[in-house]
Amino acid sequence: MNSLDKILGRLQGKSPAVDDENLFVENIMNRLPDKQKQRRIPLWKNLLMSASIAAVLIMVAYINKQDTELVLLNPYYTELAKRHETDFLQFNENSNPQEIYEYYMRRKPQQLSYLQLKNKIHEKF
Amino acid sequence: MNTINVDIIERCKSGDKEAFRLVVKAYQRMLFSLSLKMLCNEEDAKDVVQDSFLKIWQSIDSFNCSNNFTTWVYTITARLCIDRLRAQKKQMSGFDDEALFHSFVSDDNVEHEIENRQWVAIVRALVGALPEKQRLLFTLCRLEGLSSAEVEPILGMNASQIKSTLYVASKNIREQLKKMGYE
Repeated sequence: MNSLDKILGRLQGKSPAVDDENLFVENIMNRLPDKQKQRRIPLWKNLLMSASIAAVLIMVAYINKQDTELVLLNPYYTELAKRHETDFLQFNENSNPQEIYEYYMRRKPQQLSYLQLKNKIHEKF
Repeated sequence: MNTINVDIIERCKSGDKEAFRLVVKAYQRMLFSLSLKMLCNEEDAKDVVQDSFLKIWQSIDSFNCSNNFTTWVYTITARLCIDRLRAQKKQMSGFDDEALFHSFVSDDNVEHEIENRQWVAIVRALVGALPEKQRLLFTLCRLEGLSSAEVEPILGMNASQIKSTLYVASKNIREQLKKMGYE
């Protein structure tokens, strides 16, 4: 039997090990990040969901814009605005609702929703 | 080779750390053994084993339970060892603790436990001068005791390539031992 086989024979069944296996295992366990199980959503579902969300957002933005215009162009609310909102005092009953709306948009770039504007007017009323 | 229950793997996939603890306990010695023999440095070997388990934990979702888990685990560790060797660009030829190797060879008591320091000396003497692939193959087949079929997927070699590479590696080691005065 040559030296290599003799050496390999003597190494058989033996293996190196760390000094403190329990501590070693603990160190490994402490390094593990928590795993958050992520469900894989099929591509078509993902696209459909994105398209639906985009459609809803566009619709909300459109309705919001329409509501604001409607509120400001509605003679009843225009009248209330003219009577109770300081910002609109410069306007009188002969003012063009479109002008009031444009003035409002310049002064208040952050649009109020229909409900917010309605509540605001009613607070003053 | 170690085996681990499919149920434990499934639990690991769902993020059960206690199940993964069983995997770590079952495989840590085996992976440390391979890493130490490949890297010939205890601290580097410990680092690679920790990185291996981290990688196993992170990618266990992609493991197909119809494959051999042990082979998969070995593959991850073997690749990390090779990466580290390449990064360090360590030249393994020659070794400082030749005396430890001689004391191992001349010791007639085969029952003696082998210390890690002595393991490093033995491995350096045997495979230190071998090219990367021969070294990994010899370590897996002759030092870790894996069969040719088990090594095939780890190294991406077929049976005949394994046989011829192992022959060349053994021949090189015998020549190295002859130079050191062992026939």
